[in-house]
Amino acid sequence: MQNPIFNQVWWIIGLPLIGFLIQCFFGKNVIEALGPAKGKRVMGTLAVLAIAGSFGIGVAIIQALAELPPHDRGVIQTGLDWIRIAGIRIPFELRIDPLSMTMVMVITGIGSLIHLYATGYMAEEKDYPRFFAYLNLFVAFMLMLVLGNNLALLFIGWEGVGLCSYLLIGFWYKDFANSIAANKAFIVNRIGDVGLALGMFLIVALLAKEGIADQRYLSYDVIFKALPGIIEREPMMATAIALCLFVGACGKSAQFPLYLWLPDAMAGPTPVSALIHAATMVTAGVVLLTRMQIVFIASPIASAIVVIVGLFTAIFAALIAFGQTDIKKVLAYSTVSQLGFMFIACGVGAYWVGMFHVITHAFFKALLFLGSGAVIHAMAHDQDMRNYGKLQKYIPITCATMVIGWIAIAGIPLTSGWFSKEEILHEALFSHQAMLGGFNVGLAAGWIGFVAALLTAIYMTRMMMLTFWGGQERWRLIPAKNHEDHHGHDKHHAHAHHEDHGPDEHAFFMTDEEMAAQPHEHEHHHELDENHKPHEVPVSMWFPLVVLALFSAGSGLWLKGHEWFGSVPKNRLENWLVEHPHEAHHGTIKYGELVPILGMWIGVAGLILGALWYMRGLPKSEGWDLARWNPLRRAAGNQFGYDAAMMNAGIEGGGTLATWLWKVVDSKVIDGAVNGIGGLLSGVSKGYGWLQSGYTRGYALMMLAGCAGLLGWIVYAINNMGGKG
Amino acid sequence: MANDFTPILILVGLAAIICGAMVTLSWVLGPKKVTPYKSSPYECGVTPSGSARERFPIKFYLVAMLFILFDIEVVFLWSWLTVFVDPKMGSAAADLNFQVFSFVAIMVYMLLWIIGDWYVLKIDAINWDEEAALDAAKLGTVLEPLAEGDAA
Amino acid sequence: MRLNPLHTPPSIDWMVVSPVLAVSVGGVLALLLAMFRPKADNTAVIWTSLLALFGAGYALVAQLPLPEASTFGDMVYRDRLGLIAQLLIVISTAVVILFSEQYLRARRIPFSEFYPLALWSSAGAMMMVSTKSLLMVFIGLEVLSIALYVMAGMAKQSNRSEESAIKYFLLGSFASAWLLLGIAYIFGTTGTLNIEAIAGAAVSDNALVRGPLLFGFSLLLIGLLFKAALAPFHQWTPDVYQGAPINVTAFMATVSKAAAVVTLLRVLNHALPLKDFFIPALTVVAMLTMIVGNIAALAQTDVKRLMGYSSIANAGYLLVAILAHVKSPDQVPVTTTLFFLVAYAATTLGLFAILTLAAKDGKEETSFADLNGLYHREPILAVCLAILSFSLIGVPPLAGFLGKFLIFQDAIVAEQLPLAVVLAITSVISIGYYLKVVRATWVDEPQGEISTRSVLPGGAKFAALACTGIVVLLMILQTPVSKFISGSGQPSAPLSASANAQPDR
Repeated sequence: MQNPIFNQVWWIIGLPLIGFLIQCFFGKNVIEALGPAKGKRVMGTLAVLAIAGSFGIGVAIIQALAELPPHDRGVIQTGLDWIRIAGIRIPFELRIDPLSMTMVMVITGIGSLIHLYATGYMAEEKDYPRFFAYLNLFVAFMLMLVLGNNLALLFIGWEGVGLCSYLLIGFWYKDFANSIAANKAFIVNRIGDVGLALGMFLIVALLAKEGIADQRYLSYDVIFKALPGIIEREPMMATAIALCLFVGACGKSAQFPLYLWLPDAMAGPTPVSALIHAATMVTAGVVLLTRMQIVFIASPIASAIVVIVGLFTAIFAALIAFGQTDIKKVLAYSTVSQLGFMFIACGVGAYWVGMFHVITHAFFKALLFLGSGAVIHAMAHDQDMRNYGKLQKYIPITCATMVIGWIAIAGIPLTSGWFSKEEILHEALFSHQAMLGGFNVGLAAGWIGFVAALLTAIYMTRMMMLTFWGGQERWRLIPAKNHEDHHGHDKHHAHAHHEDHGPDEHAFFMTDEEMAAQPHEHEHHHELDENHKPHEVPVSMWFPLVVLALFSAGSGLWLKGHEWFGSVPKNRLENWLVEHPHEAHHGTIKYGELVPILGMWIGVAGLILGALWYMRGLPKSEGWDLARWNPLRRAAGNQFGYDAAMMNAGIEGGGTLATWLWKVVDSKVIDGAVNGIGGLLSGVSKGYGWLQSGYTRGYALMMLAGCAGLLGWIVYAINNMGGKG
Repeated sequence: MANDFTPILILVGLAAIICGAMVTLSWVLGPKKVTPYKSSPYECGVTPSGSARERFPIKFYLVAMLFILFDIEVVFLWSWLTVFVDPKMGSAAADLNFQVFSFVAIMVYMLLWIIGDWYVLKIDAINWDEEAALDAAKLGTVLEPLAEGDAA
Repeated sequence: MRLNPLHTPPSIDWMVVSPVLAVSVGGVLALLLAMFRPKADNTAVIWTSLLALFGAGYALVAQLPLPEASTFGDMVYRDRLGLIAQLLIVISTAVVILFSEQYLRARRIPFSEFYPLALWSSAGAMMMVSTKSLLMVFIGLEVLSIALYVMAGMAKQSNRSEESAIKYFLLGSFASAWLLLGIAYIFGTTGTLNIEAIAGAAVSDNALVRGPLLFGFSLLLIGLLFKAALAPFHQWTPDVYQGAPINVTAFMATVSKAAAVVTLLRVLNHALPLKDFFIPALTVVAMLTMIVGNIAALAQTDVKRLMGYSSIANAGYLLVAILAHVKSPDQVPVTTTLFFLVAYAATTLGLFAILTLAAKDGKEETSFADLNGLYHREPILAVCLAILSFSLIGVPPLAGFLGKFLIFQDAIVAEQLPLAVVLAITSVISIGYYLKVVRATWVDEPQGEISTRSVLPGGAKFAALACTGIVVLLMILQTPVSKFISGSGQPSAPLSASANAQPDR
């Protein structure tokens, strides 16, 4: 007998969707009716409630799920058929299992906190309901992505979150740069989506050939039952499917060849960066890999490629982070880098560890992003760390919470990040999953991973030191008025704009006319200058920070347990996510005794190194004058030229190709043929007008001819068939 | 099968060919001397006056059509009556049964027919007054444009 | 052995005839009201008509679960095919009536008899589809047609309207004569008018039976091909469609076509023993129809005339569906034909409802140029018009696409590749003229004075929006609609038009 609470799973998706509809259809009216202040409060509350309600249902369901025996934790709720054509059936069906419910917890839990935060962050925004409509819609799609029981529903969610990401990156669409960033995110993601779609088609093709009675070829329960047998016979197919899916995952989770869009995506409002581009959407790739792990486990080569890509991304993005001056960009690259870690975990076959890092990362990265949002909010929407310094004095709550996020991501022992990261590297070192021609890629990745962890600790320390401590309050150096005359300032502005498409134009909340029309809101929006006095954020914004800080600090311990805290159950998450947890790692490795020491101290070492280097504030070699920068750092700032190269290849190469296609192929060959046929047909058509004379007698004659033809045929047929039917 | 019909087809074909040949050949071979007298419609000598394509009142058609309606009515009623008076169903009860049923049926028909005639009278279809006949205004159907749809 | 009706009065299953009765009695009442209403106000007439149609629709739906039955000495027959077709006819008529009044006023057509005539006409159509007796087919056809002739000519101040009525009448009589002759041949050969019985006779190898039977059958087909506007019996269509008032055109394009197509389907289905004879001929007819309809449409500049050709082309598609079914009745369901009819009816009605904008001050201009700038005047309708045009082209995910796709699929399943190919190619050609409609509404700016009204009245707007909604939703609702049409899941009366009832796929 199934627990009736499982039937309510539809509401998990339904509530955000309803929230979206409410924001869409009533948002503007409510704000007009109640006035901006009260109306925004009402709509904001509704938006938060929609997600919080989902969270509540999720908690109820996850409790019910936990009561089931482990091998029964895969409940499927089937609704209507969506597609049912010859040979394939795709119903609307949701899957309640540990993986999906864990993600539901992360999405709705962190989602509601971020919604709450956004009600404060976006308070001055005119298009308030539009923002929350997108945000609610995003949550709905993301939930569909994780809850759907087939790849088609996952694909709806996948595309839906992509759409919402696009809409939210370009939320301030009047700034052209934001629109470009949104387009970039959308287009780069398309490449990944092609891979995902191909993978799905492959699976359908394989299963259809197999002739399985249950035609829900894309449903997980069918795939899991049928696919292992197939790929055992055809191991190449496992590799092919795995690589196709991995391309999709690379796109959405911003892995190396396709990570380009994520840094630019920082153009969106900061809550968006926290929710979509750190905590939830970008982990969709990891979720996909975890969901389809049977395919990857069957293919060591694909696993090795996953590890290599993940490792390279982790190191590469960490290096780039050193060259960034925009606080959100640093966090963006750190996200890319941490996603690399998750892929390493998936590649070496430790999928639950990947999910572990997804969860802890969601906490501390959302925290860091929201904190950075608070900083930006406090600093009149300036995002350049070179203008910060000693902010700890002004925004102590933000600073305190961000410190927790910082030590978590740096991997200071007993913080959540330490647990998950250490687990990843440990699993990598002792795994035999990712093999490439006899070479254990996982082992190498484990060792090199420590370097990436060290780098992470250092650049995060750099960010924190530049923002909160250091020698002086550097924005005091910006003169109050006429910054057009200020040479240095102007120059760096121009440069910053050239360098990336970030929202450097701080005051892009309204057009000039709107600003003029609303003097009150305008006053809020002064430029950052020497007279600026940073102020702590309102409670609706720091409350989520505090909650997230608690989780960043404690979730690792709670989920994993540690020998120092005997009362905390061990391996809670592993037992939850893995049906048959295996104990005690396999064999020993060279220098294996170093591993615990490194795991314990590498983060601390990075922290100390970074603190020493940046204790005295912004070094001259990272200041406004780029000429004085270390060439390596300058290269890192430019993403080692990768972005520019790809963009040039894409845009200019594409342009050349397109021009050729247009000028030669299209206008000569195709147009010629098409116009020729068109002309011919209209000629025939006009000629037909001769038959359509308008005279009734002509028509009657034609009918007579038709009749004669028909009867003639009958006579002929009777003669030839001899009356035989 | 084929043999049954082939001779007939051949016959039809021959007839068509012969007819066509006669008309065509006389048209091709015959001398053509056109005089006004010869090309007049009536060779008997009556001089035609005016065009034959003259309009004449459409009411002639109407009367003809209405006449057909009455015709049909008579045909129906007559054939029904001959059976109705003496159904010869075998028993008196069956006779009565049939008479009741057929009477009702024919009355329904008559009702419809009378409504039709009524309509004809109502729209003055048989009113030979040039001014009034068939004027839609008789039915009160001079339509005023409604304010809604036609404001332009 | 049937009892001689002279001996016992027939017992009548009134339920079976109730829809037709409701519609025709409604027509009579509407006429009475039209004669006696106090002012020039047709409201009561319209409501009576709609009520009668609603009653008929209710009676039809109520009969859906009932088993097949016949009454009036086998003259009227109830089966799912007939019920669904009647339902389509009733709903189409109601939609036409919805957008007629304001149109008639705008065109200054003082003809409140339109409503009773429309009802009678659709009663005729309903008779045609709900019988297995050829005599009833003929009577229904005549009731349908004669009312239509009058309606086509009701715009007395317009020469085109008169012309179209006369043309339709003359050619229609011509076709009816053949039809009747065909029925006479069949009756003479087999001694029965019931198509099922005829199918039995057709099995005979006796040349003296088969020859005249085929002859009569061909003539019968011609009558129906004419009504459905299939080449080469199609030439009346553009002229009549263009000349007749728009609401009548819409009626012709949906009700009249549905009746003819369904009757054709029924007749062919019961003539399966003869299929080797007529399938090749009708294949040619279908190809010719699709080609002529689509190509001739390319040169048109008037939307109504264009819709005439479009109607011809769609008749061709419908014939493909019928042929596919007739060729392999076991693999191809009847559902496709009806589904396409539904999609086509919705699209056409919506389009014509929007086109009623063209009537203004007693005149009507329906060339492409008159649609120019509609986008400014009525953006919602312009969107609807675009959607409907795209549906006619067959752009996914609209109803037209699904209809064509199903037909295409059926043609492949029935191994009628040439038909499928012609269907695909001509569909591509059709883009050429349907897009002209879209272009006229969206791209070209109006030159000079605007000759159309700028606001569509409520009834027509409702009709247009509802039809567009159906067109958009039909794809999603495909499964339930197909189920509804085929009646699978219904215990009693699944859809089977053929005498040798085949299991539903």
